[in-house]
Amino acid sequence: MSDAPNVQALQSRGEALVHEAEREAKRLQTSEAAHACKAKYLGKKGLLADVMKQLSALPPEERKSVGKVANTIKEQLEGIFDAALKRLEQEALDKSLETSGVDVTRPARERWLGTLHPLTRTTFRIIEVFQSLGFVIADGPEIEHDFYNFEALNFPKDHPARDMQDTFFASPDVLLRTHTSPVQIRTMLDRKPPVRIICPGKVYRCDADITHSPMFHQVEGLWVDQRVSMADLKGVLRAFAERLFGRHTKVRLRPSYFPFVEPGAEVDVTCVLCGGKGCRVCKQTGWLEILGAGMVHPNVLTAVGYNPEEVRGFAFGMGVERIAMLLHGVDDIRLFFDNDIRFLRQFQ
Amino acid sequence: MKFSLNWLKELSEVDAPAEEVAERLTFLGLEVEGVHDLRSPLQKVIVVEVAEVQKHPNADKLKIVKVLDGEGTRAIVCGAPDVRVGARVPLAEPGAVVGGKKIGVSEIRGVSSAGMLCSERELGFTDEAKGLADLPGDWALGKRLSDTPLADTILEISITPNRPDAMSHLGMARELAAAFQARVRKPRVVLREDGGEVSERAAVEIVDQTACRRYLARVVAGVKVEPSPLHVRARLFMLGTRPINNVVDATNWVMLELGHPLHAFDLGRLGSASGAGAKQKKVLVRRANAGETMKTLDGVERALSEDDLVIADPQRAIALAGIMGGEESEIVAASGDVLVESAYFEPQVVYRTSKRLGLTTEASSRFWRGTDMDGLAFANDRTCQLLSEWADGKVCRGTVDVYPRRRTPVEVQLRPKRLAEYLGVQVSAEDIAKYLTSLELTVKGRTDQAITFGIPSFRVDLNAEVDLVEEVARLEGYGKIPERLPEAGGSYDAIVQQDQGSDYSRLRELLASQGLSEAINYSFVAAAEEAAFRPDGVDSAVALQNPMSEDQSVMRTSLMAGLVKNARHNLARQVLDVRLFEIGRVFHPRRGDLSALPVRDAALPEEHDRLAILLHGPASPFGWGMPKREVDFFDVKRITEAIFEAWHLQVEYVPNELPAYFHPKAAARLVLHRPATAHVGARDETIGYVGQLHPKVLAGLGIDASATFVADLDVLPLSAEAAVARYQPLPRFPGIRRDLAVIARADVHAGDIVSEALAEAKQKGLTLEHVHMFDVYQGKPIADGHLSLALAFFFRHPERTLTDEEVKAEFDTLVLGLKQKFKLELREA
Ligand SMILES: [Zn+2]
Repeated sequence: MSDAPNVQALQSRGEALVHEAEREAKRLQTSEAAHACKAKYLGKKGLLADVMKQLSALPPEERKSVGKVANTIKEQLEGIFDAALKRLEQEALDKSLETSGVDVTRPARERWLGTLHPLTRTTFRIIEVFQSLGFVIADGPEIEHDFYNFEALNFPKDHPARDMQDTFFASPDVLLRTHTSPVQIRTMLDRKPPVRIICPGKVYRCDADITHSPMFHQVEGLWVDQRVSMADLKGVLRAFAERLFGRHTKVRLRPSYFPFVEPGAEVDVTCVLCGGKGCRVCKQTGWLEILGAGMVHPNVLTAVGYNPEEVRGFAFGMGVERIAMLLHGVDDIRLFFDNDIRFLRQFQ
Repeated sequence: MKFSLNWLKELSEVDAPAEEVAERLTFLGLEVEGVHDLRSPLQKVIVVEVAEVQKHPNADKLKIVKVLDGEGTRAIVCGAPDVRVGARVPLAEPGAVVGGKKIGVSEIRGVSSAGMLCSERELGFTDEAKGLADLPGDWALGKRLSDTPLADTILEISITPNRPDAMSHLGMARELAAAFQARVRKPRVVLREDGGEVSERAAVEIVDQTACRRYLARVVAGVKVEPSPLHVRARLFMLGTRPINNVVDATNWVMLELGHPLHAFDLGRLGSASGAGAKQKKVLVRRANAGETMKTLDGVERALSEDDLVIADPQRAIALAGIMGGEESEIVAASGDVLVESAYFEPQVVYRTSKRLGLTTEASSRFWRGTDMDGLAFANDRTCQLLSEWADGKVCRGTVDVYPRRRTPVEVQLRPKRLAEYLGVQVSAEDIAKYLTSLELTVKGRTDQAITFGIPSFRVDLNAEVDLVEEVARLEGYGKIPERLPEAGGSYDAIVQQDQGSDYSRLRELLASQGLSEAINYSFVAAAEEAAFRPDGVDSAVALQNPMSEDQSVMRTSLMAGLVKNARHNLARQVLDVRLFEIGRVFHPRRGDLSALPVRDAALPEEHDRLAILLHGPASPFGWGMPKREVDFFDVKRITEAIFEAWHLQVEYVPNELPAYFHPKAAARLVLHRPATAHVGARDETIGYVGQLHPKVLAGLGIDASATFVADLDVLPLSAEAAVARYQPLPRFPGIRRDLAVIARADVHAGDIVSEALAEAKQKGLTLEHVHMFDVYQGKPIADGHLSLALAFFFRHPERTLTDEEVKAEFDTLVLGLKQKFKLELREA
């Protein structure tokens, strides 16, 4: 097909238009100008229309190819201006973002997070470990009858073992519990074995210095069943120590005396600070005493109506303050009860 | 208790270094808490003899002492008043450290001195500061004091109350010997009884044979009361017992050696029974008479009770049995004849009197743990032996031994199988027997299943099989017990049992997320603090009989005093925004009918778990770009609302019936609407209060009441998990909102308008879904005593889209009703 003169004219003038438009589009500064400029080329009375008008009297056989060329030029021009508009929009957005930023170094509008007490957190950590070992929480009164706090626990009246726990009395038979062990008695009186409980709570002893508080917290555990032994006690305590203080924490039992258990033991764990190498906190021994434990004394089982020939049990107890002090490096127990917010907020 | 390592080694064949001894004892349950080496400081102290004493040329009070050290002569400047030629005395050579001071070669007023001659006190032997220590004449010159019996290592051992037998050097030596599988060396006692017949000198009657099971007396005649030899005084002193005289020291020595407390009476000062020869003195063991008094050795006049056991002569009490002697029969310099008492007093009797009088002594703390009933003759003999050795006493022939009911020997069976079940480790019958016989138990019988052991009389703690299990475990070593996790089987019930207690963990986390920090306060407070915050309906508080201080004398009836105290603490330390909560127990004396309760529980107060919240100070001290304001009621309400929402509780804020510690017009009673259940109908229950504290309870505390808002509520409804939510279908049709702005009198409650609108809508069958107050304004141009309220009304029909016309009609109806009821004036919205 040979190019007719009209087609050729359109082609060359169209190319000139496109060239001109490209040049002009580059200089556009606003989208209004871009729209105006687009109209100038592509409007009904625009430059492209002018060119088309000048192609007078098109023979019918040329119409198709002229139309085709005209369309191409039109598309090219539209592309130029659409691109320009897009560019300008982007520039406008960039500009507006540039001026609408914030100073990200300013503080948050409000400080709005409180904290659990470090003793609560420590108690929760301890409880979680034992819950995962199948222990359930048991609870009881903080003001107790002598029977539950002492007598049923194999502390007879007028017995020197009572001197081990300086007791606050409300009346001759009513006292502030000196340990959470009365919860063990109440639970066993209430249920048949097996029993597997932990008893967290406040306890009271007349004693006050930087490591003793007249009120403090204990978590005690009790497992009574047909076949438990001291080896099981050691296993449970080892599992506990590793979970609370980290892998490879070791546990060591030393004979000791608590009236409600026999054999009784003090329990040491590898020093959490030096890992057993010896430091100031563990007095160079590499060990920290954190628990008391033992096999439930037959007199205790008898007192709650269990048959010591049929079931055995082990019990253990620990002071929450002592563990919290070790875990967090707190050196004065009184800090826990001042409730100084600057102190409390350190344990978020 | 303090132990002398020298003494332990004298009493056993163990010869191990102090550290090893300490370690072994600790792992037998005799925890060594300290090891004090008193030998090292004596390495540079030698024995010298005084050869010549000259006056110091330049000082009146000083002397120049020439001493012999075995090789030559040294000149020492000395300030002691009487330096005896021929005396053997200690010389601290240059380089020694004495009393914390390093000794050197010094010039004292122009005379050179090569060391220092020392007193007993300077060397830590006793607290005797007068004169130079007088060393035994047969000690070689030049010998280092670190090589003499005066050089010792002291072990501090914590002895648990079940082990009275270990409260002596012989007892501890026995443990040590068992640990090392070595032998014990019991002291050998041979007496020359050349002091006449004891029966002519003393008679004993036990009046109360339940309180005193055995009383044994011996008499030593013609003792010369004087200071004990240096090694005796030094040992007693290092063990914390003050040397008194050779008689008293002998009784203390034997107590520390054998564990049995002894008492020496001045026989000459005791009375006789009428009719008996004046020479024969009578000792009675009886309860004190009503109104009887006695002056004890410490010089205190004691009022006795009929519960107290005393030793008496026919005229008067001469000792508190097992606790302390009387001043009137005390050994003094002039004493000549001595009655030595060794007795068995019932532990509880001694314990009660000792505690009642607040008088704990070395003797009482041994008696109340239980002494060796069959060992007291030996202890008495040993004392008499020492009296003859140290005080030239002549021991009378025979003993007065009143022992009406002999102790029944104790036998205990041990089943090796049972032991293995207990410990989780097998110990052979041979090893069991080996361990227990090393503790002086005897094998009395043996079957396939069990071994029967005879228990020595000093082991009052061994009465049951489990006691022997522990003994075997101690000696085998707890370290030999394996670590094992219990079999899960058999404990299914324990696992599925519901938790009895709640740790309120979700509540605590929620409160922390609301910006509150958790406080834990003592459960005891000052009486005035308790009274200020006592809840209505509580008449009194539980008071402690023996508080540590007045500030901690009664059990709290509310948590509020603690948080107020914490607020003060923080404000005083420039923490100005106080946001605290506490969850804890309060204690209310039990009220109402107690007859339904078990007797023991009826004696106990009621305990309730409560939650208290305190907000004080700026609403957002570190906030910016917002108006500054202090916290107000709605800040604390935001928190209580968050709680009630989280637990799906329907709680109404009712402005009446408030406790006295709340602001009467800026606080609310929290009324929980409990829906009906299968068993109980719907009911309302007051669960707490929220609002501003009354200014009077903060008066004088330096806390601005107008910026202090609290909540005080029962956490019981929050102890359980929130009810499981039931799904409600989501609305399918849009709702329409209409706003209302009104001017109301200031005493009109927004909540009343809302509930009135809802009630009205319900009654008339309107489509009002809910109403929300979204603005309030007081001040110009609103007239005084009035405020402007803005409320949003939300309408929705469950089955179709409402038209504007329908909503307008409903809204207008409601507004009209509200306007009339609350005397509202409409504002242009
Ligand atoms: Zn360490």
